[in-house]
Amino acid sequence: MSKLLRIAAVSVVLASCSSSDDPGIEVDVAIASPSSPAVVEGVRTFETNQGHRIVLTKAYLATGSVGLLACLDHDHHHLTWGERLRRLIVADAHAHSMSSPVQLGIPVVESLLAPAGERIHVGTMEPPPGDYCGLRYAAFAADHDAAGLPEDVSMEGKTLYLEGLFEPADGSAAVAFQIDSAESFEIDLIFPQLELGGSGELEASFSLGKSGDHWFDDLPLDTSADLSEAIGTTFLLRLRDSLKVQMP
Amino acid sequence: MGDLYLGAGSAASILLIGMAIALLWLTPRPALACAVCSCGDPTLTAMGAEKPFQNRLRASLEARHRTDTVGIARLNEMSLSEQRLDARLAWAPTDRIFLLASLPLLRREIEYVNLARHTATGVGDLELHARFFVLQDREFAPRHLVSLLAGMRFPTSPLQRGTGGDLLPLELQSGAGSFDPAVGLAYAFFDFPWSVYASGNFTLPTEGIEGIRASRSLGLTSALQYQLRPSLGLRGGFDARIEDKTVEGGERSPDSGGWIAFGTAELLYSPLTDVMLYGSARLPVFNALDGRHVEGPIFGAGVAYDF
Repeated sequence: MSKLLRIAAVSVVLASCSSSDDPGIEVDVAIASPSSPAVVEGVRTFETNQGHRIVLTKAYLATGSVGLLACLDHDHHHLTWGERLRRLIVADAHAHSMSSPVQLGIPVVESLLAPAGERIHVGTMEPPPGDYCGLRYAAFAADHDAAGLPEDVSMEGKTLYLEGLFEPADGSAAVAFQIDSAESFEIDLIFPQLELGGSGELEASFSLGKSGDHWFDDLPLDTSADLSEAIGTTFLLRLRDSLKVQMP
Repeated sequence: MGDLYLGAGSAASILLIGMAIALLWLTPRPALACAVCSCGDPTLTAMGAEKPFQNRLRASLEARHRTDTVGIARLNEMSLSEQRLDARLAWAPTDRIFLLASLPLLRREIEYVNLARHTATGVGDLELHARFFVLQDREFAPRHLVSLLAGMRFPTSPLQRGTGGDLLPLELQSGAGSFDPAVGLAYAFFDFPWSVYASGNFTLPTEGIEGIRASRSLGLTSALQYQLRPSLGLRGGFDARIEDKTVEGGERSPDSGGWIAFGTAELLYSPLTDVMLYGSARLPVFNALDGRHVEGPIFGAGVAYDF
């Protein structure tokens, strides 16, 4: 009898320490390095529409948040109060973005000189079931706990930092430049409707790519430092417009 | 009602009282609406309301199911389904003191907004309780009984980790990892075939897993019982829990605090001498819990045996 009791007790204890996980819907998001122009010996060289050459020797960009957009995001009439509260939290957050099931609010600093094909994993969202049609990407100034902060440049309080040489098309002397910006931007990047959960996928992954072919077109990098801020803002807008969402 | 006095009758009379009451009241009392949430009177089921005779020994096994939903839909909602099996042993070293040891086995399943589902099974925290009978109106077959309650939950539950070795979320742990003392007061009134029980229990949790301190709470229990037959009793009443905020990392959790009341119904049946079967349902009738916190019905069934 006592043996039976001991066996029963051991069985209960063994059975008592188990766990199982079903991860549910997961959406991975990565940032891809610029696809062009190529990085050679650690620098990226651009040719502008005016024939100037830009040699970037340092370049960093701070990503603030990446969020998933539901296909009916524009239809506010059908939103529940909980959903409206979620929108309030998610859509209006900037300087200190919050993470949620449909948003990664972890600031990440990337080097724009990383070789093509490199990816930085931003994080994994765990959204509720539904139809999703896009990503909302936001860039804004990095804070002290942003991931990927470089050692050679202080990116705290900056969205963008560029350093390099401007080589005029007329062959005159190259001009060194240094530009930084604390401006922010947000863009919605649309992709074909994706159903998550229900009869749809439980896993998805996105990569945010960009191409640098036109980033420096028409930018007066040989002018005075007074225009630095405006140039930084214009560069950010060019970079924004080059963003693309890729679904591997 | 006569003058109350501190009872100190002979062992024989106490034994008779205990036996008489046991026959009428060989009924495990309802588990509290939310004992898992540190509310109400966790001694009632295993001890009963009556005064014990010396060396009375009762074992009971009770299964319960409850649900709980916390958070905002499609944002941070978490739906808990919990089943627990409480093994209890109650012993009266004297006719004035009743001691109770309780050890639960819990299964918890949580579903998150992204359809993720985590399940954990584990031995819960050991609880020790004591009831001290301090006042009664008469020595033989008292109609009025007043008792003090004291208890402690010990962090005996092993910390549960996932396959990667990380700690499972607190809501999946089968214990809080804290010492949770409780004190209370109970009153019972007997007038066959009717009886009434009421109690209040303060629980003061200390800091546990990951520095989280569960809500301090006051659990209130009231029950009216009618004995249809010597072997069949019906019980109805209200349980309530009033709680302050859970503290996580120094912050007060928004989806905690407030109060909730349950209407309770219980059927008690004794098919054999010394054996009691019971089933219960507790339905939330008033939910004033803060934030987004919805507790569902609690269903229970159990068996008790007097040695």
